[in-house]
Amino acid sequence: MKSERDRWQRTLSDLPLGSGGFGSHTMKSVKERIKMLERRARRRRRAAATAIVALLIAGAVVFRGDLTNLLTPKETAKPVISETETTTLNIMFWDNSTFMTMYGQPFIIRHPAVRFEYSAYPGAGTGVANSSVGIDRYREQLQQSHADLVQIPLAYVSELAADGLLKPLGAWMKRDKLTDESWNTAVRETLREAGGGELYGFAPEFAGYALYYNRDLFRENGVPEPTDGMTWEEAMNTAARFQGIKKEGKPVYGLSFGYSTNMGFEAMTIGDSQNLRLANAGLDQATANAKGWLDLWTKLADGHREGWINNVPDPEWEGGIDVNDLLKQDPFLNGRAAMTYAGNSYMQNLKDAPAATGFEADWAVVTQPRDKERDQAIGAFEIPYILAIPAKSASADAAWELLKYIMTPSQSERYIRLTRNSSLPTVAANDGAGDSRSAVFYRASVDPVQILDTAKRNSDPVYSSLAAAVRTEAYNRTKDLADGTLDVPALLKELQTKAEQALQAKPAGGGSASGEETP
Amino acid sequence: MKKLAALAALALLLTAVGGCVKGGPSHEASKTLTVACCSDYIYDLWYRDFIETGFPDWDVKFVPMSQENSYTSYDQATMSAFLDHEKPDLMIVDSAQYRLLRSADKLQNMDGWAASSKTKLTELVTPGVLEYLRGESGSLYALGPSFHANALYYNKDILDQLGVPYPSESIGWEQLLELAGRVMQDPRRDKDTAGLFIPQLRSPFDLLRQVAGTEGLAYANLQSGTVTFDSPGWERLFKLVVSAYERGVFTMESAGMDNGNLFQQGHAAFTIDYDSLYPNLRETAKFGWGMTAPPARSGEPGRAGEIQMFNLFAIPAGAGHAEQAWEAISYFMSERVGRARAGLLNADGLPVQRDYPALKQDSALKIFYEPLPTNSLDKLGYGINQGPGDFDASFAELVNGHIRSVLADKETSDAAFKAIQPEAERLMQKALAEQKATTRSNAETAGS
Repeated sequence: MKSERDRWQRTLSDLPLGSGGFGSHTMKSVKERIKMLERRARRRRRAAATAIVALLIAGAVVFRGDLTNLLTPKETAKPVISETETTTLNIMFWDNSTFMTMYGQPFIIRHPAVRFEYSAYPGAGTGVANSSVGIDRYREQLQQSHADLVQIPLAYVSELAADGLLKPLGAWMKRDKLTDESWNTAVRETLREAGGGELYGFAPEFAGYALYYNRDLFRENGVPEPTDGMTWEEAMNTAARFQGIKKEGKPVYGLSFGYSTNMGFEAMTIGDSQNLRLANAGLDQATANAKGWLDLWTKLADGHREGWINNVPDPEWEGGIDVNDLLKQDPFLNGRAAMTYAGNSYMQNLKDAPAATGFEADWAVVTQPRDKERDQAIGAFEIPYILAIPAKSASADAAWELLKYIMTPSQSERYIRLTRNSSLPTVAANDGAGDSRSAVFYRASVDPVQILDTAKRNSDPVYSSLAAAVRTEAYNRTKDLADGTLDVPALLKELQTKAEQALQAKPAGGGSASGEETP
Repeated sequence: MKKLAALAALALLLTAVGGCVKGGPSHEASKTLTVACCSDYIYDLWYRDFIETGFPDWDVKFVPMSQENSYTSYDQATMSAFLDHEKPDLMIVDSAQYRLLRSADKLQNMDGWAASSKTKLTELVTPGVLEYLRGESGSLYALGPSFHANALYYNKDILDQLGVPYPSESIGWEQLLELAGRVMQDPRRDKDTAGLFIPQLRSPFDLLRQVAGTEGLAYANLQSGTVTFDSPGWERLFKLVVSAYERGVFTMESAGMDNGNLFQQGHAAFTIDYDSLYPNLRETAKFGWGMTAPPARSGEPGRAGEIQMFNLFAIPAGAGHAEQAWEAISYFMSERVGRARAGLLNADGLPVQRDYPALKQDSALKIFYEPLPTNSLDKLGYGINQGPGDFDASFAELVNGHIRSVLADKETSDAAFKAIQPEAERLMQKALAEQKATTRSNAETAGS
């Protein structure tokens, strides 16, 4: 609780009364104080007064609360968020109780008179930053609701900001000397890209994939360990070296995908990291059978057939699935997979594994493999949502205080605790919070233009329904696959047909967010 | 030029003063506090945010007392070892752990801390809670941020239909059982409707014990090893309970919560239940309902109902930073915390702040804050045995047996009441003898 970072955080957020004496104040309160000083000065009618006031104005910006103590002992200026008078903030968030747990509760504890009200979330009940409802519903809600803080998909930030519906945050940041330097670089660059240099919202967390590996299995079999930034080709070749290895009579796999064994799922997951697309940018041509897909599917089919990729069919789950049963199903967590490609939430599975499966292996993690055609940038990186302040917010200053609090290291520590080490806060938590191995997600570099482009494509209702159709088909066509029977070209033809049908079914006028065709 | 020099001096002065102010309380030498409590998850959910907010400069160490999803029950030996090893300054414990610590004299008396505090506890904390915590001894060894209290809830639709009046604020057990009896005897009553539903009631003895609790009567004295059932007070209550069963207010087949909460389902005219039912009814009840204070002690209209506190803050005798522990406890008692909790969704009970109903802007909550409790942390509370060993269980069976024979017309209620004291004394002798034997054999085991 006592570190440089926490001290930094305290200078950003209000201190409770009684714990130090002064809190942060906004321009408004500074201006009020200045007015008061001006009135006094006039009463005294002294020529020098104006000059002194000018100095005080300058000083007020620097000293703020200290000045209050010095010059107006009895007339403390009103802070943005009163300790006793109710400040109501209207929130538009996908789930109200999640909002309370994540942000509302700690903020109210810091500001006891804050109360929250809620505006309807576009496509409520369908998930976080749901984009299948399209940008128009968000636009409507930003115009019609009384929201002071809204959760929106990354893909819509540029347009909503261009429409003047979101408050730029730069002026506030400058005033409060809040910089984004301590943020995860990939998030910072992507948000700046989305706002054309300006920030129109903050992203408290991000998500990514990585390659987890069992160091014991690598040592025992004399295979060199994977490294940061290796290509998918290198990763697959490493996995193939485990072909035929057994442990206690059971096969050891070179590569697995958590507890899942479905080749369709695997193809789509790796495809994301290689930026493979199922349609072109103009959404008039399906690309589900492009060369990149063919190479990927072929390699996966080889791995399944030769047994260096986990090829045990998914069991038929009936009714509810117990999390522990899923963990028991996972070869990596049973010490029988050398590598597993999974998202950051897999950190939670690894944390639960010792109790669930007796997993005790020495494991490590490297950045997700990349497409060999590209530079170091990774493809599977996501900013699940943005928190922004609507331009017409009636309590924008108070909303800013909340937004500022959300981006503090102590709040990051809360994310890590609440999600059992599986979330990736944009603002790094204090050293020692969480598992140091999660640093792998912070090391990965991204191409912000690419990330934004992917987000926009995925947020397009036409593309998302096309992707869903292809995923479902790929999953169904590979779920009962016996070893080596997959006719890859035939499958890709089917997937291409599905994708084409989805494109033909798109509504007149299209749902494409950008509409522009890129070569 | 002179002017400029003056301004520069003023600027310097401002900087200096600013520096002084900044170097004030928020930058004092670091304070440390070791908190022992619950599991990580519970600590994160209920306490951590408060402690981090209240004491941002402190170096706070948390020591879990139980693992996630499992409850660790401490006996004297493990508790002593825990204290020696972890040396906590502040403990957040349940009432069983509190009694364990208290009986081993491992806790600090808080009266001195409370007396020296600038804001008096009585100005912050609701009087009923303070009385509950002080208990028989009158001394304060624990405080807590939350409590539970019960109320009398009634179904207005059922009472209106049958023309039975709503209960008044200072209703006693006699009147309540009378009203419930009128519901049961009314031929217009739906056959699934109960007069009075008490969730934990499974036998006549459960009712007798609850009624006697309201009246402050104990049937045995653990210290002296005597049975105290033979009194006019007990005779009145025994006959009250027997007559309630005779009139069909309850039947011997009362099934507690086996069929769910009858009141919540709209199938009971009255219920005595805890505060948690209130928000529940507000959200889900499909019938008209009201609530008032539970039955009051005879002749003491302001004393009614029970309090429970599951999370007690105590300072161990050996705490190295007792002052910080008291500061943390005071913070949890403050109006600031009460105000914050009025805005939160989930809490582990009602905040103890006396102004909470006003902070929450819900005057209906006063029902839980105004009465003085009939029980205390050390007397007549949940889980407190009145006799030694197995006495309490055998006494309950004895009383139920006699009530059963009265209802079967095999015994008059006079005869039954008279028979209980001597039979209970024999049970007491037996329990005492068994306890002595156990102590002796334990001593021998330890000595061998």
